[in-house]
Amino acid sequence: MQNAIELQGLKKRLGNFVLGPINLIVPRGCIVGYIGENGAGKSTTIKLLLNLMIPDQGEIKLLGKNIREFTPQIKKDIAYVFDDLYLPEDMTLKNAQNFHRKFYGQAWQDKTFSELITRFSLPDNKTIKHFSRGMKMQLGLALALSHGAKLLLLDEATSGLDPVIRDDVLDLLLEYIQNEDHTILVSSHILSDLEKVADYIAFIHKGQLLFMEAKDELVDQYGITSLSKEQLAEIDNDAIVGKRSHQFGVEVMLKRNLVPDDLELEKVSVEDIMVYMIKGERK
Amino acid sequence: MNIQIKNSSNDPIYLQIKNQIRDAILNGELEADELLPSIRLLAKELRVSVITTKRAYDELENDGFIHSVHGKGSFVAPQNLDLIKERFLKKIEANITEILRYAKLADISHDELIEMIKTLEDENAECN
Amino acid sequence: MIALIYKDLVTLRKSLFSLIFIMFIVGFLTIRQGNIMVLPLMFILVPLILLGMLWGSDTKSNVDQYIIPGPVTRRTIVLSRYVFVWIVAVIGTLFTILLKLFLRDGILLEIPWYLIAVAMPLLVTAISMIQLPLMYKFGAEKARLIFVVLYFIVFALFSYIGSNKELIAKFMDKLILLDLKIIGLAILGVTLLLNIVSFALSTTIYTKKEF
Repeated sequence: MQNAIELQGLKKRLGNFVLGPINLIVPRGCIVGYIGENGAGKSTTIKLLLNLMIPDQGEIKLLGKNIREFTPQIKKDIAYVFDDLYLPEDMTLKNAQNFHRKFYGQAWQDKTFSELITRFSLPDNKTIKHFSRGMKMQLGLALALSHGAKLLLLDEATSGLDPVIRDDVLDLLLEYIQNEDHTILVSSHILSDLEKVADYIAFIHKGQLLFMEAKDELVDQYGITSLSKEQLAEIDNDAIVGKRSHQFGVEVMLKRNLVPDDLELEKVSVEDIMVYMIKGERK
Repeated sequence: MNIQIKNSSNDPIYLQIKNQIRDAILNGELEADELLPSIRLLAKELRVSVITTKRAYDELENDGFIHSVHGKGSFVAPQNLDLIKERFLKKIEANITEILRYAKLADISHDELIEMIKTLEDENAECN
Repeated sequence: MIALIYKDLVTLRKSLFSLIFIMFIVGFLTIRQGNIMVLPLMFILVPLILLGMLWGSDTKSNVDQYIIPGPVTRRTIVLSRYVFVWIVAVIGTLFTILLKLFLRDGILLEIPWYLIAVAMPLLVTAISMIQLPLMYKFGAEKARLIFVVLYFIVFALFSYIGSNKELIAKFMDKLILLDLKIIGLAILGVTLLLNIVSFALSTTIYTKKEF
């Protein structure tokens, strides 16, 4: 089966910042969390995927096709949601619907859209200017999910939203992924609830892709515990991923396979891994 | 069928799913040839990754509890109950041997042991 | 393409109404004063005003970032902006020809209709055609600045030519000798060339642009 996303030696220089070279393969039918600090290169990657930026080097294939050969017809298979809804402020929901109906032609699914709008109970006649951030996000997602796209790219789309709306978004993503042909890439610096459903985690730091791994395996590799400084000294240095020292001891993230079995470790979250890895590197 | 995922549990999530489906099959809640929910639906409802549910199903299949038909889904495999009973009997035997060894060391009579079993059973019944 | 024009119309919805309203008032006043030529010339300003508004709204909402990944080519996005100017040009031209048909006097009567049909598109589009590539290259703010500078250069050039009365006299003599139809063709040629070159420039700039 084709991969949904294939990046090969992707490189982009923006002033002092260099992204890549990035090699990444996202199989079809899964949810990938693309995580990293602000400024790590997440948005740059997504802009490259969407042809908003042009790579200095490397190849980008989406849904098995090089994006340089994309026609408007193929672009209908790709949906995207940014951190804000980039439509003219004076548009109403109805205007946005009309615009997309003309924009996507045959691919546009009016019924799907109406259902989503009813579900979110978004107002018909208010202009986007008067929408709250959460409403804009819901409208953006409804528009993105109503043209039968096979690949959904979300760039920081859920950051700054209240938990209830994030939960709605989560439900929508899970419904979307019921089709095995559908793939989702979510970029974010906070995963918390989204990490639960992600199949893979790709971690980018200072423009470099540190890893792309199945989340379950990733989380099972590490454990967190609190130790005294004397106890820490006995632990294999290679096992220490990162630590937080304070006056009364150390909190430390360890690789499970390199520490004694009888050491009790707590489960880690993806966010723990992100924080400890970045802090570990600083030392 | 009920599946409960507990974050407090030390078992990984796939194992929690696997064990609960296995138990449902063994106690007859799921019958032979019954269609199981798809891995995607299960992942959606439980809000876990598809890889997690897939792993649970893969292991259940390896252990012979379910079988998958490509394009149709996963079904409960017909269980050879005698064989399963045999397997459990062996486990019980091994555990009883262990119990008897401890009982001898602590000088606990058989009657006391039977009393203990009854009390524990009552307590479990209350919990359920 | 239709979607993009629709988006532009929605963006301009309110301003368009007030613009038409203002044109009516100005038109009414000028007709009463007998200075009918002001009306067609107002169309020169219309695309400039509307383009400025569209650009402002699109930049504010980051619209380019939304439509580029969508089912259009970058070329079509640029084309939609040009089509918008051309629509205004067509309306302005038709309006002026109609004006000529219904009026009983004034200098419009002396100008043949085919000359109006080629001169109006040039007048309406000319400034936009110079401005659009500049806007794509430098953004609306800087483009406006460059345009002011350009304006002064052209102005200086004209006043230099203006002080050279003999040159103008010679030029006018030759011009009068020419057939009006040839002048019409020349204007048409200049308009087409200007529009095509401008569009090609804008497309090249926009294709390489990053967001």
